[in-house]
Amino acid sequence: MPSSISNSRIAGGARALRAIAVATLVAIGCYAGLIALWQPTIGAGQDQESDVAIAVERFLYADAVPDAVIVGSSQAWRIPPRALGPRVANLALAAHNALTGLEIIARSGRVPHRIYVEINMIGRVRHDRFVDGVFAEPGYTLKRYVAALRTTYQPANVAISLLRRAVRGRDEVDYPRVQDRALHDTLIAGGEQSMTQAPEPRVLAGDVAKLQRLAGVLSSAGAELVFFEMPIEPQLEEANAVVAVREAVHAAFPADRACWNQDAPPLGLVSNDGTHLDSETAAKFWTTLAATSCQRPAVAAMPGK
Amino acid sequence: MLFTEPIFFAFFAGVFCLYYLPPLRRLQVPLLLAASLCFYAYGQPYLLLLLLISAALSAIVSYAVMVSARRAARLRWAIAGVASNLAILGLFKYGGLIERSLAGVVGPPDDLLALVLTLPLPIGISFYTFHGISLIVDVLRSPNAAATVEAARPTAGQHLKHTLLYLTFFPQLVAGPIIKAHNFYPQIAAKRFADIDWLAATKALIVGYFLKRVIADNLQNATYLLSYPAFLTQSSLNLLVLDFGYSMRIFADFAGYSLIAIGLAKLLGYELPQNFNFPYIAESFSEFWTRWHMSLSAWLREYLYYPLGGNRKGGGRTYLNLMTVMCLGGLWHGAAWSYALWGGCHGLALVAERLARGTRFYRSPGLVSRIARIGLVFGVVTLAWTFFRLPHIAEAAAFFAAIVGNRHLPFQPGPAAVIALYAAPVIAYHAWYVWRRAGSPILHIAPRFEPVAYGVLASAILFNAGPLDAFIYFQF
Repeated sequence: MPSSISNSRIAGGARALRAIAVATLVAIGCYAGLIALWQPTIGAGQDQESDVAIAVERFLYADAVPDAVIVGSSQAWRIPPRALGPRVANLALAAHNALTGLEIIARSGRVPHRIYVEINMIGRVRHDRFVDGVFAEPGYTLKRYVAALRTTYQPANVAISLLRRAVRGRDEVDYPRVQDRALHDTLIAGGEQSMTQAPEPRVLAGDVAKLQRLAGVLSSAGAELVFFEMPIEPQLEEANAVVAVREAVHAAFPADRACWNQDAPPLGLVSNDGTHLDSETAAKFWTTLAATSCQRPAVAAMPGK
Repeated sequence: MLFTEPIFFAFFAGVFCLYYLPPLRRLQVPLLLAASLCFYAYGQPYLLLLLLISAALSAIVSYAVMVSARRAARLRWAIAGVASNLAILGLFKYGGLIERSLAGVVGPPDDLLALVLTLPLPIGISFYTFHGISLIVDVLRSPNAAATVEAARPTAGQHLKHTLLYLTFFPQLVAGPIIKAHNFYPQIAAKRFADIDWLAATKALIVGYFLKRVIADNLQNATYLLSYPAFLTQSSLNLLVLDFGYSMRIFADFAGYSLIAIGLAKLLGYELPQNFNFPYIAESFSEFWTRWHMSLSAWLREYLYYPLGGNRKGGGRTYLNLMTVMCLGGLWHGAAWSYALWGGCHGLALVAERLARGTRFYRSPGLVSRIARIGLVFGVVTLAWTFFRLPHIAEAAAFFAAIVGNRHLPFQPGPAAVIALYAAPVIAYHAWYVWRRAGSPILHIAPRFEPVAYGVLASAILFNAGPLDAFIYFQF
């Protein structure tokens, strides 16, 4: 008797397990099929980390290589897609610096005609394992063929994107101007505080050397590199962090050998926190950056210092 | 090594295959022991030594208690063993806190102590020292000590092997559930592949991984603004939503971890105790602690609250005992005074609840009253989590001040919508339990759709997992 009870329990358990396995496969197949057929346009995701992943996937898995790519940090990340248009990709990624974007371009082999390199955060943020994660197999290849596996098409990102479109009428990364005066002052004070400390010299030198190597590789592959700084509040221009980075990168890429956007930013640029522009202001800045004309030849590979 | 890392899946698959190989059946315990030590050493190889010392100490002391004939000798061994475990915990977990707190009163530590204080917190130390204490006390308490934890009086070698397994068993090594010695030792026996409860293990693993990878890991990003000074820029309502989101996250993270541990243990033929029982539907604080981190609550009740006298020595002493247990329980979570404060908040809530027990608010059986009681418990518990997220008391105070002071800032619906999206499954999970308890008619059709529900959860793990993040309770 106990063994027959046990056998029926085992049989019932096996049936239930089979049902769960089938339901799982059907759910996976349905969602993968839905995304393959629908491929909704996702402008922005559920949070900043998703937004970054979406920007990277948009660059990696698009049919055509964009004409130009911006690489940099959260500062150039503020330039909104609506200002860039469809032929310019923004790989200036929040919580990273230009090296991440450059490395993604180099490892993907999708080299655009022009790369805008924002230098503000060189030597100041770590980005070691991110790019390895992006290109880790089998995920990298699987995502090419099964779009549903991309962060872009996570059910939550699709839901939030649709909700945003329904409520706001548009769906893209957007940083509105901080209107509250007291809050703005608090944020500026925080920004000033963060800029007092220069990056560690060893880290800065390592980043600059890597920048030189990647610039050399991408120039050899036919890209024209345009270096620039995102505008910051005037009182921060001489901050330790700003000066150290500026001097190191200018020494590695002197103006007579590299193309720099050195036009003064348009008047009236206002940051939200001392270093990050709001989206409208960042769009204005982009118009001057996009007009940069390089008289000099593209950056050639330069030996490290 | 995290249960969510790809390397862990390879590790577990390897261990599982070897474990059930018929020729290796007699070596299951040593194999599990070796696997557990490898699992622990993967992240902190040099701290493996501390784990081994602690485990060996508990094994030797408990064996001495077991074989000592005289009560006084057994008591002496037990006191020495408990004190040693507490000393290890105190030195490696609380050394820094004590040093900071006594700075200026005593001189700087000598070189060896200073070296110990610079070591990172050994992962799982709070759990394996509590397991060690549980073992020693269980053996001491029983008139027939051997039968308490071992089926028959074991040899010293067997006891050492079993104790090492009890203290290092990898599914529960770093964050529990805390299993009592008298529940674990009887399970140490040869396991057969045919005896695996696949269905229960699968369900626990699917729900566990869903709670951790889909809910908790995504809420980690969604609640990142709950850090100083970022929260200063948020409106009052956004701050409350952030706190709510953190409350959902910590539940999903720890309940998810516990279910994964239970599922993995089932695959290896072991039963671990349930650790969560839908805690956010608790109608009282005392009920909350029978539903949240149940294995810790049970441990504190059995090994601290009852020995202190529990509620048998009058009202005043009961309140004192409650405060003591909750403050120490809070401090068990982390080496910062904010954790003691968190425990103190819960202690006060328990005391206040006892004082108000006779009021209409607590006695009314009506639905509105019950919902109000659930809301009160959930609200207080959620606000108290702030001390977990912001372990500097000044930052937590600034957070509460911002809730009051940031009413003029505009509400941002975007981040709140994301938190609501991920909170919805946790709320549904609790609602399902309430319906089940109330015998709702919906449950008659539910079993038919159960496989579909598990299928959807499993596919969500594939399609909607958040960025890999460590378990919150690993830091404790």
